[in-house]
Amino acid sequence: MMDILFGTIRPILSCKPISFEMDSFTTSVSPRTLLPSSVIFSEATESWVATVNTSQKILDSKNVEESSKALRAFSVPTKKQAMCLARAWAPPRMYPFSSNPKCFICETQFAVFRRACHCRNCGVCMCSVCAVQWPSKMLPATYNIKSEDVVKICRACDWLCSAFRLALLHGDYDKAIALHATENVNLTTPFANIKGEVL
Amino acid sequence: MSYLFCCDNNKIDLFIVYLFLNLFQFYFYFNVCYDSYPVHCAVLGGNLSLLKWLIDENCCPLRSIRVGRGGSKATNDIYTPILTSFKRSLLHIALSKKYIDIVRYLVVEKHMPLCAEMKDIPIETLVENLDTVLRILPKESAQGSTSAEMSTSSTFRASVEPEDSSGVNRVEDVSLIQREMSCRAVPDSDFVSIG
Repeated sequence: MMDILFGTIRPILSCKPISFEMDSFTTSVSPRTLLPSSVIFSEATESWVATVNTSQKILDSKNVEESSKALRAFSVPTKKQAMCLARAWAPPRMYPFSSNPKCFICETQFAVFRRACHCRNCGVCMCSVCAVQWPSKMLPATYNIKSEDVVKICRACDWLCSAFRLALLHGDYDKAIALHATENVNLTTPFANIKGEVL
Repeated sequence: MSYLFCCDNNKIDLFIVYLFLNLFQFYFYFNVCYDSYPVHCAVLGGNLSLLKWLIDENCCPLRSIRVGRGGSKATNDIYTPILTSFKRSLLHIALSKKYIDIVRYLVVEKHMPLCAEMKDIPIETLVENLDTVLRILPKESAQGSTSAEMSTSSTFRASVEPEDSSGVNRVEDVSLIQREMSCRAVPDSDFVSIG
């Protein structure tokens, strides 16, 4: 009965501490699957147009009329910029709640009072204990279709973002490239809400 | 703990003060955030190869232009650098840290106009940078024209050379450099940022 209401409670003694070492977290970061995007050359304006799907629900409903409304297009002068833009602005696919009964981070069972939510950056299902709040400007605008002020992010993505920022600040080339290879780092959005640091 | 202390001593007024202080912090936690883009962090880190990787490989935006219906040709031509929450641009950070190679990369290869930053950068910073450049310069010219760096930085050298011959860095000299740079550096429309 307790399990149905509150989910499995972590035993306090065997609860492993969250370590912020490089190896322990890079394995637990789930690479995001992006919604389809396209890059075409528009001859009328002589520019490259990157088109991005913004809504996963409408895309899955296979309604052509509706899905064309959910598209967003950006035009840039070169092909490379358009490719980068499409990759950076295509939102991630959210994992369905039905096939993920456990929290991705702490692996406790979801229940009536332990609700699941999605990480807006990578799409995994997590419980509210493992969620970190970010100001919405830290994500590209297409990620935030509900236009919330504060979005929920899993701890792995939060760690990844701060580690990437530190790698940049220390000028650590190899580490920055390695962290970017996990594909969950946003390069076009600012790092926000960092206290005590004057930039 | 301070709440408990107040309750124990029946000091309601202090309790309210603490409560308001906490609310104040809470308000600031959500409203004041210091934000900086990845490119700013890379410039602050001082690693040129990292900055090149961000800008050339991943097309990070360097200037913001208005995208969409509102942006006309005239408004798009105005150079607006992306700023941190402390209103510092990339060139500002690079100049204040005296990372000459990054300044060269931004001004010469990415065509960022140095004159557009004039309002925010104090003249002392510019003179200090000129000082650093002058210290580096004789080394380069002693290597001869065979070095690969010389061919890439020829434009930069040309603008600094008059200073080198005079040997003194006066304030007028700095303005001379800026005038020379401003006529060459044109804002380009290569980089687009949205938001």
